[in-house]
Amino acid sequence: MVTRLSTAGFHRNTINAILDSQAKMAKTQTQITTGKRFQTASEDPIAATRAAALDRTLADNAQYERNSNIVESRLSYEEQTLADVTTLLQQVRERALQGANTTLGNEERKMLANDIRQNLAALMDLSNSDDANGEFLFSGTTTGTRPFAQGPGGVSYQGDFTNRQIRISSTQSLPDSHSGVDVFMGIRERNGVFTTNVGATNTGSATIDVGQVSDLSSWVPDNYTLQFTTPSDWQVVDDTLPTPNVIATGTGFTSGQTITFNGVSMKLTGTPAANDTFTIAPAAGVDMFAMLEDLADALVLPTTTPGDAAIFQSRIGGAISNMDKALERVVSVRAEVGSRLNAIDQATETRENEAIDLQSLLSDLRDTDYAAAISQLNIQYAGLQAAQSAYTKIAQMSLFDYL
Amino acid sequence: MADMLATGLSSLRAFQRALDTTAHNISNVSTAGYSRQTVDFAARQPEAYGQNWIGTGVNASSVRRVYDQFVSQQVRNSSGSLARLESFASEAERLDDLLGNTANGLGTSLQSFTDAINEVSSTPNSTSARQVLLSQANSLAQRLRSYDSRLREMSEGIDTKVSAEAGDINEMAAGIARLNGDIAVAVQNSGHAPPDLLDQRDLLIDQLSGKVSVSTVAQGDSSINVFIGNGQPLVLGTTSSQLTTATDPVDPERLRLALQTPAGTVDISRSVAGGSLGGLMDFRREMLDPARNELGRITLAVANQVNAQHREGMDLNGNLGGSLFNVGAVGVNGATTNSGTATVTATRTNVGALTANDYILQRTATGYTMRRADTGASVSFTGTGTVADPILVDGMSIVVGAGIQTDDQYLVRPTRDAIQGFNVAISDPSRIAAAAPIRTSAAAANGGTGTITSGEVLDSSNVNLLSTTNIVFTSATTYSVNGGANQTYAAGGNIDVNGWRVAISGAPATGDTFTIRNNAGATGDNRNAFALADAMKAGVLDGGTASVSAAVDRMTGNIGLNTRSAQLNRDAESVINDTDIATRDALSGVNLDEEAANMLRFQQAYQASAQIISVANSLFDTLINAVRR
Repeated sequence: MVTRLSTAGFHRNTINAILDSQAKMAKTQTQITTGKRFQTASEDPIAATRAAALDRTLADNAQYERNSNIVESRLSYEEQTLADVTTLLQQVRERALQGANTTLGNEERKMLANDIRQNLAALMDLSNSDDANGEFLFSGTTTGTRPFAQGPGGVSYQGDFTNRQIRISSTQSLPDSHSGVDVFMGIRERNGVFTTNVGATNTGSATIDVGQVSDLSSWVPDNYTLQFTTPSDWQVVDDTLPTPNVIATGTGFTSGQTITFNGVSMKLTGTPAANDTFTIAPAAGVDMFAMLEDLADALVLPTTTPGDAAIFQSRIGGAISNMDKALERVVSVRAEVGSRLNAIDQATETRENEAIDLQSLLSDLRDTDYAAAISQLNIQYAGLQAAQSAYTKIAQMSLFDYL
Repeated sequence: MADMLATGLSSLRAFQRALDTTAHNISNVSTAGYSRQTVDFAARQPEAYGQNWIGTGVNASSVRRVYDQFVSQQVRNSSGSLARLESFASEAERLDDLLGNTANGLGTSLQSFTDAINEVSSTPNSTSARQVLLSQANSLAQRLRSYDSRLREMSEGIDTKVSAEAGDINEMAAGIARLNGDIAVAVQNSGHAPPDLLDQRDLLIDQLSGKVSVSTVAQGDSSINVFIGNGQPLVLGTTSSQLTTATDPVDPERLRLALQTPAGTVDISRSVAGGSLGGLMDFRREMLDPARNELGRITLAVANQVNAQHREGMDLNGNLGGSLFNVGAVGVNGATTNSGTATVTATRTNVGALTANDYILQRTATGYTMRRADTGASVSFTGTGTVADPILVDGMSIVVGAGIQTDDQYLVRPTRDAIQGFNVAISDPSRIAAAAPIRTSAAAANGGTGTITSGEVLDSSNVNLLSTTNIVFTSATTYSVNGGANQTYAAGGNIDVNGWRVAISGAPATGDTFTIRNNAGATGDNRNAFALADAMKAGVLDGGTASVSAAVDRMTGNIGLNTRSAQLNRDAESVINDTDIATRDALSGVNLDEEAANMLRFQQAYQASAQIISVANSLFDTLINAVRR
C-alpha cells in the first residue's frame, strides 16, 4: 500500500482510469452498434476461427441451395417431358391394340398408321425439348446440339453420353439430366431377350407370339430357325452352329402349343404347313422412334393370305411388346428422376435444419448479447460518471486554498 | 560568546534555503523524472561557555533528492518491457485489423471465388457465370496482392521506425555522455552531484530503456556507462557511440543495426532486444515475416490447385485449359558481398512441402550449407546444386550456375514472391475450362452389357490426349486399343492410354466398340468445373491435411491469438509498470499539500528567526540606551 501520493501521480492515475473506462465503453458501444461481439480475430481468436469455419459452411450451403434449384428445375422439365412421352406411348399402344383386331379394314388400319406417324413426329419434338435456359434436355453435356435427327437410316443421336453432375451437398452430387440414349435409345426389343418372326414364305396360318424366357441362364444368344417338316413335326436349328445343328425336335404339334428350347419358350397358334419356318434371334437394342415406325409399318401389312395374316399378327404382337418395353424404359427413367428430386428434397431439408443449428451456433459465438451489453454499458457509464465527479471534487482540494 | 544575531541569521539563511527548495519542488510538480528535494538541517558547532556549550544556530547542511536506486531500476525495467510489448502489440493490432477482420477478410474472397466455380459448374454454358468466375478470380488475386502490398508497407514502415528509433537512441546517448561530463565537473567543483542533473540523466536512461534494453554501470567519477546488445558500449564516460542502420547485404528488404564504437563497427541486429526497437524487430520476426510467407504459401496453394485442375479441362473453344492463374517465381537474391558471379535459380517442385521459411544458401569450400534466414538453424538438403543433381530442399529444387565462390550467400524466399506475380492468366470467359477434354461412348450396335466410365485425365500434356481412340473387344475377354495387341479384359479395371484413364465394366461381347474422343462442342459439360470446385475443398497444404480455406482460417486465427497474447502481456506489464511508478512516486514524487505544509512550517520558522534578530536588536538598543546618559 502506497502511503504517500505524489500530486502528478494522483492526476495521472485518475486520468488513466478514466481513459481506460472510456475505451471499455467504446468497445461495448461497438459491440452494440455492430451487433457483433468481436470485430477482429484478436478479440476472441478461438471463436473467430470457429465462426469463420461456420460462415464457410453456411456459404457453401447457400451455394448448394442454388445448385439444387438448378437441378430441380431441369429435372422438373425432364419429368414433364417424360410424362408427355408416357401419355403418347400409351395412346400409341391403344392404337396398336385397335389395329391388331382382324376385323378392321385396310383403310381403317391405314388411318391408325397415319395417326402413329403423327405421334412419331410429336415424339421427335419431345425428345428434342429444351429447358428454361434453352439447353436441350436429352443431349448429354453437348447441350447446344439438337440430340435427335432424322436421317436416311432412321433417327440418330447427336449428343454425348455424359451427364452433368451437380453438387447438392458437401457429400452428394446428382446428374441433372439423362442423355437421349438413356431414355430413347437401345431399348431391348420385343420381350427383351429374343425376337420371334414368321417366315416370309409361310403358307400355313400358324403365327408365333413374342415368347417367354423361363431360364435365362440356359439361353444362348444365337439365331435359330423353327422348322415344320410336316404340319405336326418340328425341329429347332441353331443357325450359328455348323451342321448337325438341330438342337430340339417335336412331334404331334397342335395349335396353341408351347415350344421350349434353351430356356426359352414360345406359343404357336394356328395350323402350320409343311416347310413353314419361324425365326428366333437375340433381341437387339432399338430406339423408340424405330419402334413406332415399325408399328406403323406393321399396321399396313397385307392380311389376305393365311401366311400374311400370321406375319401381321406376329409383327403387331411384337410391336405391342415393343411399346411395353418403351413404356417400361420411360417409367424407369421417371422413377430415377423422381428419386433424384426426392434426394434434392431430403438434402434441402437436411441443409435447412443444419442452417438453423449453424446460425444459432454462430449467433452464440459471435453475436452481441444485447441485454448483457446494454447493462454493461450502463454500469460502465455510471462508473465513468462517478470517476469523473470524484476526480473534479478531489482535485479541487488543496492546502494552498487555506494559506 | 554565543551571538544571538548570528544564530538568528543562520536560521534565516537555512529557512531561506528550505523555502527556496520548497518553491523548487512546487515548480517542478509536473517535471518528468524530477525527484523531490529536501533540505537537511544540522545544528551549528556550539561554543564553549565555561563548562557548558551554547548552540550557535542551524546550517542547511545539504540539499538532496529523495531517490532510491533500486526502485528506479524497477521502473526502468518494467518500462522497457512495457515499451517493447506496446510497440509489438500496436503493430500486431494493425496486422490483425488487416488480416483478422472477420467481416471482409481473405476467407470471404476465397469463398466468393469457390462459389463462382460452383456456379459455372451448375451452369457451364452461361457466359455470365463464367464472367463472374473471372471477375471473382481477379478480385481474389487483387485482394491477395493488396494484402501483400500492405504487409510490405508495414515492413518498410518498421524499417523507417527502426531508423528513427536509432536516431533517438543516438541523441539520448549523446545527452547521457554530456550529462556525465557536466556531473563530473560539478562533483569536482563542489564535491556533490547536482540533483537536477542526476534526475535528467536518469530520465534519459529511462527513456533509452524504453527504446532498447540497456545495462548501466556506475563509474567512480559519478558518471554512468551504458551498454547495448551483448555488452557493446553505447556510452563510455563522456563519449557515445553511433547506432547506424544499413541494408542487409543478403536481404535488400531488411535493415541491419550496427554500432560504431571506437573499437570498430559491430553488427548488433541479432542481439538488440527489449524496448520499442526490440518490439519492432520481434514483431517483424515473429509475426510479419511469417504472415507474409504464409500468405505466399496460400497463394501458391490456390494457384497450384486451380491450375492443375484447369489444365485438365477443355474450354468452350475446344482447347485444353491452360493455367488460370500466373504466380511469381521463387525469389533468389545474391548478397551484395558475394565475390562470385553465379546465377542461382530455384523452382517449386512440391507446393505441399513448401514451408513459410526463408533460407540462406551459402557456399563452403567443399559444398553448400543451408540455414533458415530467421533463426539461423541449419536445414538438411540433398543434391550438389548442378542441373543433373539439383539441391532439393522443402519442396524446392535449386540449381547453382557457374562462377560461385566460397562464402557467397544467396537468400531464397520460396513463397513470398509468389503473390506480386499472382494474376489471372485469361480474360476471355469462353477460355474457362469447365468441360472435360475427352468423351467416351459405347457403339450403338454393341451387343454386350459393357459400359464405359466417362474417363479422367491423367496427363494433360500428352500430345495424343484428344486423338480418337477405339477400344474393340476381340473376344469377351480380350480387347485391342486402336487395333493394337490383344489385352486381357478385367471388368472395372483401369485402361490408361494417351494420358487418360477409363474403366469398362460389365460383359462386353465380341466386336463391341468403345470410343474415346475429343470433347469439343460439349458446351454443357461441367465435369472439370465440378472437379475444380472439389479441388478448392481438398487438402493441399501441410502434407494434404489443410484445405486452402482452412489454412486461411488458421493464419488469421494465429494472428488473432498472437495479437491477443501480446495485448494480454502488455496489459499485465502495464499493471506492473503502474505499480512500480506508484512506488517511485510515493518516494520521489512531489505532493503539493506536503509542500504547502512545509512552506507554512518554513515560513513560520523564518518569521521566528526574523523575530530573533528583532529581539537581538532590541536587546542591543536596551544596552545602548542604558549607557547613553
